[in-house]
Amino acid sequence: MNAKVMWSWRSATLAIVTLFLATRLYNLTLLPLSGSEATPLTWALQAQQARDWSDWLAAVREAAQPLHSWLLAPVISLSLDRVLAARLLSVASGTITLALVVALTQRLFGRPAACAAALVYVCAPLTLLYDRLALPAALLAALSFLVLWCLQAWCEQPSTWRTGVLGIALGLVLLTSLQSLTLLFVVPGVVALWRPAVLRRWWSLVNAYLLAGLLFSVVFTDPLAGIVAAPAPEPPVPAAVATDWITNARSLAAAAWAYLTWPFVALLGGTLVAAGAAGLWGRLATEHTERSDAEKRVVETSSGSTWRGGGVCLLWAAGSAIGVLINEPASTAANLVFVVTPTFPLVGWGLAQLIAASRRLPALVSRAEPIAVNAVVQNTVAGIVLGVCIAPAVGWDWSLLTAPTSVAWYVGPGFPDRARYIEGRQSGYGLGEIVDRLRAAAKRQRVVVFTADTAGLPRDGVRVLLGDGPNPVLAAVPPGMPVAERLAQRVGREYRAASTGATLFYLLDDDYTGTGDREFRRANPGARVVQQVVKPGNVSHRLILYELLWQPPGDDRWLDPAPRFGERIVLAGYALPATTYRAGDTVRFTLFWEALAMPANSYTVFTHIVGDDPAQKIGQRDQLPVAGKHPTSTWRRGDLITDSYAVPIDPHVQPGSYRVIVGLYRLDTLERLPMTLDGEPVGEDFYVLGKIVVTAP
Amino acid sequence: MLSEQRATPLPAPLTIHHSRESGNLPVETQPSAHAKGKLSRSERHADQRCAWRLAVVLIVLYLLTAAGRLTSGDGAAMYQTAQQLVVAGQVAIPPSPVAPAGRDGRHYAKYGLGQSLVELPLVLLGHTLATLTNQPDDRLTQFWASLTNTFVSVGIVLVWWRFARDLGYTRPVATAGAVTLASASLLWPYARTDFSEPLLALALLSTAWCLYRWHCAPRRAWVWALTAGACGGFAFVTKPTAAVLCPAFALYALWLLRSGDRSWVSGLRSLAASLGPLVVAGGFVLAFNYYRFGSVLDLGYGDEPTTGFTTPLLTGVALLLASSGKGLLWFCPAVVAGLWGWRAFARAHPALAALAALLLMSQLAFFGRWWAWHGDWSWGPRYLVAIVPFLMWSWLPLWQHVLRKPCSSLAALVVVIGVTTGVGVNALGVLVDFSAYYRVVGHQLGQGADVADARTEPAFSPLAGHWWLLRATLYDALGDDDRDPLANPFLHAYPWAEAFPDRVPPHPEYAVKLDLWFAGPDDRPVWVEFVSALVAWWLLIALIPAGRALWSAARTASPTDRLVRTVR
Repeated sequence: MNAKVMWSWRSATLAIVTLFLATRLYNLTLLPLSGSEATPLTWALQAQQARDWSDWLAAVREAAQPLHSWLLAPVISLSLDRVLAARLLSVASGTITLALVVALTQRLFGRPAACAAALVYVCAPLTLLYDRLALPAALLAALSFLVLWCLQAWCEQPSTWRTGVLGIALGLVLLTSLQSLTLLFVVPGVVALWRPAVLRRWWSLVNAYLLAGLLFSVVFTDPLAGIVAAPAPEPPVPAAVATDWITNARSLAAAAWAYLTWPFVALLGGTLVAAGAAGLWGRLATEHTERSDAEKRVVETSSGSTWRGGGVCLLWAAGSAIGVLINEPASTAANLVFVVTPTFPLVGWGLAQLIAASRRLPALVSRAEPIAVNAVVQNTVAGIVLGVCIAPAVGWDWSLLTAPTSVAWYVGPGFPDRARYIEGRQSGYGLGEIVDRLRAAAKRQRVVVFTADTAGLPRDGVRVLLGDGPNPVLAAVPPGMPVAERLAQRVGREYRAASTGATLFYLLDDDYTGTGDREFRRANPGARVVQQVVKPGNVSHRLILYELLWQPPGDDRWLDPAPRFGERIVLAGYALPATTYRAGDTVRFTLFWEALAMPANSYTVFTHIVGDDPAQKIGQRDQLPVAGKHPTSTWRRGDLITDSYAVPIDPHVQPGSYRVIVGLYRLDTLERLPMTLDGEPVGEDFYVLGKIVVTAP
Repeated sequence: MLSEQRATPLPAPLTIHHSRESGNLPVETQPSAHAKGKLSRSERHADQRCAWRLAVVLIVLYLLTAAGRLTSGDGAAMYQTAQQLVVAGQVAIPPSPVAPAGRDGRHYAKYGLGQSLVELPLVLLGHTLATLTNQPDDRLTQFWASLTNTFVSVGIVLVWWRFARDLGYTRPVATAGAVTLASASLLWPYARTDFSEPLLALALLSTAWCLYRWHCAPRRAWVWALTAGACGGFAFVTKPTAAVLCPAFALYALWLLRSGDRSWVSGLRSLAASLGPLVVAGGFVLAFNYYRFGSVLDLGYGDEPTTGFTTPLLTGVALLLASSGKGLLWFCPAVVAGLWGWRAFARAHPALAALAALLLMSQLAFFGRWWAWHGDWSWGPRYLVAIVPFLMWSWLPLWQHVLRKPCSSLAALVVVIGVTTGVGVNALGVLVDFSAYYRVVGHQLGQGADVADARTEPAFSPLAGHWWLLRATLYDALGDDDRDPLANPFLHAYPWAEAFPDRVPPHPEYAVKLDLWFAGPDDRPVWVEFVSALVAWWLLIALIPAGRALWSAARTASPTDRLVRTVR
C-alpha cells in the first residue's frame, strides 16, 4: 500500500473517531435521566455502598443481570454527576463496539467496507441513542461482538489461552443479559460456518462453556436467591407464545426502520441479495469458466470468504434476535442494538460496494473507459450516493443532540419511546428542578422524601440524583397507601426522622388527567403542593411535590447516648405508651434497634418486668427480634429494626412500682451481651426502659 | 495407526513353561521386557501416555459417580480420626458404637489407621476450604474426604494395568482388562464409599506386583522386596485382619524364589529386605493398640476376636459366595464370567493363579467364620472386595482371545455377558444408596437395623431392591418437578410385594433418590446446586474425549507387545 492510500485511510480513521466522540459526548446530559437508566444506577449505588455481598446482587433480585451495575459502581464514584458518569460508561462500550466492528469488517470484507461500517455505526440513530444512555444495551452489544471476535480468533487457533478468553467473554455477556443465552447455541453454528474443521476441537468449546457457566454462577451466590425465587409461571399456551413472538418481531422490525432509517435497512437487504448473488456467481464462475486451478482457488476463496463472513454476521444477528424475541416482550428498543450491531459489517460491505459502483457510474453513462472519467466527477457521484444514504440518519442525530423533544421517536406498538424519554412517567424532565428544591430544603432542616414504591421514576431517579444519606431520608410507599398509614407502622429510618420533626415531602408523577393528584389528596388530606413541573409535550405527565402534615406519636423516646449491646447492636429508642397497669394486664412496648454492623450471632431479646431486684420477675417475654422474623444474624449495617413486645404481668403480683428492662443474650450459652454507654461499661447487661406502676386487679 | 496395528504380530498362545532346572513343577513364565525394565524410551512414553489417559478416564468416571458424603459409620469414624489429626494432632474422636472408650477415657475408632492417613491430604484440603469460606459445619471437609477412595481405586486399576503389562499382555488387552475391573466389578461401587477395603486391595495388589518385580529385577531386587514389605505392612496398618493373608504371600514369594534364576541364598537375602517394613508396621499396630486401648492385642473389638467366630464355616463360605443379598457370584458376575479365562491364566502364570486362589480361600476361611461375615451395611460381600482385583486377572486371557484376529466368538460372548451384567449390577450399587434401601427393609421388617433377611431372602435382595428404587427414582427424575412424589407408580412396586404382601414399606419415598453428589442434598445453597450440575455435565461429556484418547493410546501397537513364548 502506498503512502498516499495509507494517508487516506488514516485520515478517514481519524475523521470517524472524531465524529464518533463528538456525536457521543456532545450535550451528553441534555436528555434527562430516564427511569430505565435510574434503576440500574440505584443497583450500582447499592453496590457502591455495599454492606455485604448481597448488596452487589441487587440487580439479580430484580430479575436482571448484574454486570452493568457492577461496572457502574466504580464509574459513578469518579464523578459528582452520576448520570454523566454512567453515560460515559455507555460511550466507552460504544467505542469498544466500534473498534470491534471495524476490526471484524476489515478481516471479513476489507478496509473500505470497514470504513463504511464504521461510518454507519457512528451515524445510525439507534447506536447514537444507546451509546448515550446509561442502559446495559451498549455494554451488551459490545460484549456480544467481543464474543464474536473471540470466536473468530478461536476458530483460527483453538489454543487453551483463546479458549479461556472465549469462555470469559461468554460468561461476561451472560452476566449482562440473559437475552444472550441463545448465543451459546449459535456458537457451534458459527464455527461450522467459519471453519468446520475446528469443530473437531469441540472439547475446547465445552471447556469454554464450563468457564462461562462458572463465571455466570456468581449470580447464584445471593443468599436470598433460593428464598425469593419467583413463583413458577403459568405454562404458556403455544398459540399465545407464537402471537407474542410475531408481535415482538413486528415491533422490532418497525423500530429498526425508524431508528436505523430506511437507507441502512435498504442497504442491509440489498447487501444480502447482492452477497447471495455474488456468492452464487462466484461458484458458477468457478465451475463454468476456463480458468487455471490457481485462479479458481482465488475466486472460490474470495467468494467463500464473503459467503462465510456474511453468514456468520447474519447467524449472530439471528441468534441475538431469537434471544430477544423469546426472552420477554420486546418492551424496549434498546434490545435492537444487540440484534442489529452484528449486521453492520454487512451493511458496511454493501455501502462500500455501492460507493464503488457509483464511482463507475459516470463511465457507464458516458460509455467511456473508467480511466477517462474525471476523478472529481467520480467522487462527486460517490459523495452524493453516500449523502443520500446517511442524510436521514444525520438529521435524526442532529435533533437528538440539540433538541431531543423534537426527535421523531418511534411511537408504534411495542416501544412507546416518546413517552419513555419525553412525556411519560419514566421521563426525567423536571426531576432535576425538584431535586434542587429538596436539596435546598435539606440544607435547612431534616427532610424525608416519599415516593411510590414502583421501579423507575420517580423513586429511583430521586435516589440517584439526591443520594440516600442521613439527610434527606428517602422512603417508598406502596401505591395508594396513605403516608400516615405507612408511618404508623413505625418502621425504618424515615420513621425515626419523621417522629423527630423532619419535614415530609411526597413526590408524585401524575398523568395529564390529574387522576393521581386527586387520589393522593384524598388519601393524604392536608397535603400541600409546593412545586409542580409539567414534562414537554401535549399529553404529558407532571411531577408534583407535596409537603405533608403528620403528627408523631408522643410516646417515642430516642436515646442519646444510646446504649450499645456488645459491639454491634444499639438500642436507638423505644416507645412505652403507658406506665400504669393492673395485675394481669399486658405491657406493650416497642424497641428500636440499630445495627452498627452485622451481628456475629443470633441473639435473643429478653424483656423482663422486675422489681428493684432484677431477679424478682413479675413478667417476662424472651424471643428472637420481630417474633423471630428478623433474627440478629440477618441484620445489616444501618438497619433500624422495630421490635414490638407484649409482656403479661403476673395476675398475683403485689401492687407497686416495677422496672421494664431489656437486653440480649445467646440462647446456646445464656450469656448476656454487656452494655456500654458512650463507650463506657455501665456494669449492667440490661437497659431500664422505665418504671411502671402495677395496681391490684 | 490402524495399519500399524494390523501389522503387529498376533500374540502367541499361552502355555505352561516347564523349567528344566525345576523338574516338573510349573514355574512362572519368563518375565517380559516391561518387567525387566528393558523398554525403549518411546515404548515407555507410550505406556506412560496410556496409563495417564486410563487414570483420567477413571478419575472422571469415579468423580462423576461419587457419593460426595460419608457413606458408613465405619467411614465416619475413620474420617473423624483423620480430621482430629488435622485439627488437633491426636486421634481421639467423639463417642459412638464404633469408637469405644480407650485407656485414658477418651474414645478411639476401632479401625486401622491406614485409611485415616490416606484421607489426610483431602481432609486438609477440605478443612482449609471450609475455613476460608467460613462454613458453619464440616460438610465440605466430608465431601473432599469422601473422594479418597476415588483416587485409591484409580490407583488399584493403574497398578493392575501395570502388572498386566509386566506379565506381557499387550496394551489393548491390559487396558480392556483394567476398564473391566474398574467398571464391571465391585471396585466401582466401593470407589464411592469410605470403607477401607479399596485401600487394602491397593496395598495387597501392590505387594503382589512388587514381589513380581522383585522376581524379575536383574539388579537391586532388594528395593522391590523392600517396597513389597512396605505395601504389605501398610495393608496390615489399614486392616490388621490382613495378617491372615500373610501365608499366601509368603508361599507366593517362595514359589517365585524357587522358579527364578537366582540362587536361594541371594534370593532370600534380597527378600529379607521386605521384613523390615513388615516388622515396623506390625510394631506400629501393636503400639497403636496399646496407645488406644491399653493392650497391644486389643483392637477395640472387646472380646469379639475370641467369641465372634460363630458362623459355621461352610455356611459362611456359601453365604459369602452365593447368598442372594451378599454373594460374590451375584454382586460381581464378572468374576464368574472370568472363570472362562482362569485355565489359560493359570497355565501362563501359575504362581499368580495360586496366589489368587490362596487369598480367596484365606478370606473365605476367616470371614466365613466371623459372625458379621456380611460386613453390613454395605454393597455385596465387602470383605471380598480386597481380593477382587486378583480374581479379575482371568480377564486378561479372556480379552486376549477377544482382541486377537480372528477373535473367538465364544470368548466374545462371555466378555459381552460378563461386562454387561457386571456394569449393570454394579451400577445399581452406584446409583442407589445401599443404606437407604437397608433402612426401608429394616423398618419394614420391624427389626430396627437388623436387615438379616435382605442377605438371604431373595425377595429382599439389594439387587432387586435397588432396581425397584432406581426405577422409581428415574420416574421422578424424568417427570415434571411439580409431580406428587407419592403418586409415583413404582413406589409401591417393591420386590417382596407378592412374597410378603403384609410387609408394606411405610415411607419408601425417602429412599427414592439418585445417590450422586450432584443430586443432593436438598438444603444446598443455590450456587452449590448450579455449580454441581455444571461440573457433573462437564464430567459426563468429558468421558467422551477421555475415552477416545484412551482408546487411541491403548491401540497403539508396540514391538515388544507379544506374549512370552513358551520354552519347551
